[in-house]
Parts: sequence; C-alpha cells; structure tokens
Amino acid sequence: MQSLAACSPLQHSRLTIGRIMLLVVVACIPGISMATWFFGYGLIINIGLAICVALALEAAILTIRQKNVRLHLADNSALVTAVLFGIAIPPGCPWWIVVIGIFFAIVVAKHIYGGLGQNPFNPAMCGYLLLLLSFPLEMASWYLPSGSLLEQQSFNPLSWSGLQQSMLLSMPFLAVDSISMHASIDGLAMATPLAEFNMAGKSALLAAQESGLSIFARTSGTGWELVNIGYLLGGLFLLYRRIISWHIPLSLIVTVGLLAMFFYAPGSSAAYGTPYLHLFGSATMIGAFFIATDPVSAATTNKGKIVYGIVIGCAIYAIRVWGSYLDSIALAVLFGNFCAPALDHFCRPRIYGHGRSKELGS
Amino acid sequence: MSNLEYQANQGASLWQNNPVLVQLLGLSPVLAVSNTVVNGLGLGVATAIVFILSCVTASLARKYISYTWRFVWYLLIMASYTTILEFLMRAYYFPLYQELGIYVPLICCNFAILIRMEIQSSMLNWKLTARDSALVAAGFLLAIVLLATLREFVATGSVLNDWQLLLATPWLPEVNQSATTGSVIFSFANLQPAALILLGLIVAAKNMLDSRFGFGSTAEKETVKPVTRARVTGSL
Repeated sequence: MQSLAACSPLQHSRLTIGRIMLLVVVACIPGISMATWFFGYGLIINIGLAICVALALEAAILTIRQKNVRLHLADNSALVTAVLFGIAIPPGCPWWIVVIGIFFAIVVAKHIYGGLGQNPFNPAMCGYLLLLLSFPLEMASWYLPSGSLLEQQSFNPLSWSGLQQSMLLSMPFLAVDSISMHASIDGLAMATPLAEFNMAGKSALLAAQESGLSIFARTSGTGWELVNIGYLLGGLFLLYRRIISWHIPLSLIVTVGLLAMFFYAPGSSAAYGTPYLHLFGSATMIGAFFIATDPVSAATTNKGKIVYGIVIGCAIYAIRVWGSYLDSIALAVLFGNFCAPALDHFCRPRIYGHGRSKELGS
Repeated sequence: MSNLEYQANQGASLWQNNPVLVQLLGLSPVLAVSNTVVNGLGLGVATAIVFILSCVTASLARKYISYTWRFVWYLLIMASYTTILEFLMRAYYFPLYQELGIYVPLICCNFAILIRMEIQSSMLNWKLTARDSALVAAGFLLAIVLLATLREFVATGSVLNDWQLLLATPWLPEVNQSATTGSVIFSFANLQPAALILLGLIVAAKNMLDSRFGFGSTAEKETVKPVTRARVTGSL
C-alpha cells in the first residue's frame, strides 16, 4: 500500500467512528425526550430493546465472522442503528417485531453486505421497511397523546403529556376505570399527523377535527412540532460539531418545503397539506438530519450530496402525497441510497491540476 | 474432445452446475413463482418437461438446423412445446394454471433451457442429451422447490398448502377447485425481494459447503496461472 504523503504539522483528530456515532445518539436525545413526554415511554422501551438485541446480534455476527468483537462493537454503529430503528417503529408494538426488524437490519442489511462501511442501504431503514411490508397492521398502530383526543373544553393539564399513555402501557388492567378516557375515540392509527391526512381520508379527519380533535393546531398539545424541533436542535448540534455537513439536510428540507408550497392550494381543497405540516407534522426533521446523512450509504461529494438531498426530498413528497404509505422517509432514503453511487460517479470534484484544460492553457 | 463437448458431458450435474444456484439462469420464474411449494412444483415440473423435450428434439433435428439460425429454431421448438403444455394445463390443471399465470407461457423464454440446447444439442446424440437435460432440469426443479419450501414456511408457517391443485381436474374434488387464501404470518417472504435475498443466502450456503467440506472437489479445479507479461518495458 502506498504511504500517504503528509507534511509536518500533523494533528490527531480525536473523532473516531465510535465517538461520532455516540454524538449522533446524543443528538437524538432532545427529540426522543420530547416524544417520550408526549407519547409515553413506549418509545424508550422500543429503543432499549432494540439496543440490547442489536448489540447481542452484532457481537454474535462478529464472532461468526471472526472479527475483533470488542473493537468493532466499540464503533457504536449498531447502537445508532438501534436508536434510529427504535424511533421509527410505533411505541407499544410487540417485542418480536422489534427483534425481527433489528435482525434484518443488523444481519442482512449490514453484515451480509460486509459490515460497517460496505452496506449500500441504511440498515435501520431496511429493518423498518421489512416490518412495514410484513406487519402493516402493527406498524400502523400509533397512538395519539390522550390530550388531543379529549374534548377541547375538558382540559386537563396532565392529559397533555404522555403520562396516561405510559400508565396505560404499564397497567393495562387499570385502563378503563381509574384512568377514564373521556373521548369516545381512544386512538387513531397514525405515524404522524401527515399520514392521517393522507390515508384515513380527508373527510374522516375533518369530522374528527370538528368534534374537537386538535391534531394540527399550531399551539397543539399533540407535540409533533416539539418533537420535530427537538430533532432539529439535535441536527443543528451535529452540524455544529461538524459530524454532518449542511448539504444533505438543507437541500432535503428546502426541496420538501418548496414542493409543499408549490402544490399546496389554499382556499380550495388544500388536500396535500401545508408546508408547515410537511416540515413539522411529519418525520422530515429526523429524516433530514439523522437518516439521510448516514455517511456510509449517502453520496459523498458535496455536489452529489446536494443532488442526493433533492432526490430524497422529491421522493419524500411524492410518496407522501401520491403514494399510499404512511410516512415516506424510509422508502425515500432507500431510493436515495440507490442513486448515491451514480451521484458520486457524476459529481466528482475536480482534481487539482486536472480538468479545465482550456484555462490551464494546455 | 472439444471444450464445448467436455462441458456438455461433465457440466450437467445437480450440484456443481445447477442452473439456478450456480449459473443463475432463468431467475425470473424462480423468483416470481416460488412463493408456495405447489406453485414451485408445478412450474418446475412444467419447465422440466419442456426442457427435456426441447433438448431431445433439437438434438434429433440438429442436422436440419442451420447454424446461423439455430436460436430461432431453438426458440420455435421451445415455444411449440410450451404451447402444447399450456393447453394441457388449461385442460387438466386449470386452477394451478390460473395460479401460475403468465409464467407458464414464459417457460419458452427460459434462458437455462436455451443455453443448454446450445451447449449440448448441437454436440451430443439424443440419448446423452436426454440424460443431461434431465439432470439439469432436475437441478432446476430441486432449486425452485427448495426455495419455495423455505419461502412458504417462513410466510405462512406451513408447507404444501393447496396440494390438491397438483391433482388433475378429473380427480380434483369440486369443492377445492380454487386456491385457498391461507393466513399469512410474514408477508415479506411472499414478495420477490425476499426470494432474491433467500436465493443469495442459499447460493452463499452452497459456496460455503463447497469450500469448507469439499463438495465441489470432484469438479476439475483449474489452477489459475499467474499472468506472465509478454514484454516488459522498463520497471514498474
């Protein structure tokens, strides 16, 4: 192997892969804590279970592949996969769903392709999509925070948090009596408000809103905006620490926002949802900052990253509005992963001293 | 013995030269129809019949087939047998025919058959051709049934559902003439990507068996000669 020609003022970067991955997990914390507050601690259970299974599987596979288990476990990539996967699947879903999804993510999508750095697709999203295709019912059972289900007039500060959800989760036998559910509806199947807007039909949703549901209220207690702002803060933290570059998130968010503005028809049916809904009532933020920026499967050149973000943004909007899946981050990101090698091929940076032959005068 | 003839003699084997697991030929029916064992078995047997008959016919008629237009002739032979088989299936196995759909007519586009006809039929007499094509067709059948068994078990938890479709219509009880829609546990296994992943895993397992336990050792191992430069200009 050729030795690298480096010149003297050398500085050791302390950013190892393990540290980068750990920072990504840390950056997820605001969003996760927001989601836990509003939707109950099912999310934490998911993430914890996913982490345990992922680390165990990773260690097992590394042993089978005769790698240094301790060294490769310390790169924390399985941890990030598990956290992103745990966020993506609905809280309170059966444990075996988590295990199957993580197995697919770690074993098939990552290690069969050759381990960290070789996987062409984002492992967490592969696992999520497997579950989405296999168990559509379980994957669609998201619960609203109970606050948004109550009538507007019977306001109860506790109910705006996920506390009721948590208690329901841990003590299901108490569900009906001691924690009284005021509303006649006790849950709506949704991943994000956006999905409900698209799928369950505009009429059903309008009826629900008329009867006092506040799913889209800007000051809402539903918490989707705050969850997204939490992920936005985490993403800005990653940008600040230069873990990710601005190209992919910015181009993705701008694309989704512009498309939503372009197709939003205020006054008429407004069927496609407002740009605000698309950016903050959905999983756009976590997708833009945490999922699309996966350094292994994303495009690597700067120009390529911008095009990559645009491709994913278009795919997100198109699948959301004209497709039939819940939220489209996973599909769109996998589509972007398909395009990434081609983008890298066509968006090569100019090598110093090469190209621009006319300017060089040769 | 020419190279082609050697291939024709030695290459036909269930294990070392399996059309699906080694040559990766004819994958579109394999991936699409291997969702249940009954489908896999039906299409596998149909393909095997067309396979053997076409190869033997091409071998018998090889003196009359012009070399330039041989692929046209091969395709015509395959298409005729496929058409006959399709009509027979419509007559006697109509529910199964409906299950298989477009993939019965598509047997005549199976490249595993075409490449085999090209290799052996122009070289061998019809007896050897029949033996070889039967071996290769059995390899195809075994591979598709193996894939289908695994997929059906993962998807529904049972194997050989709707086996009554494999009975010809006169013996088929009238009640069960259509395929039942069984409860699907893991529906991803019913989709084609799962078939592709599973096929990859089976090929990997086969390669591992070959390399670790030497199942492939009877095959002639060609030692790769190091490339020698004809002319070296200067040092590298």
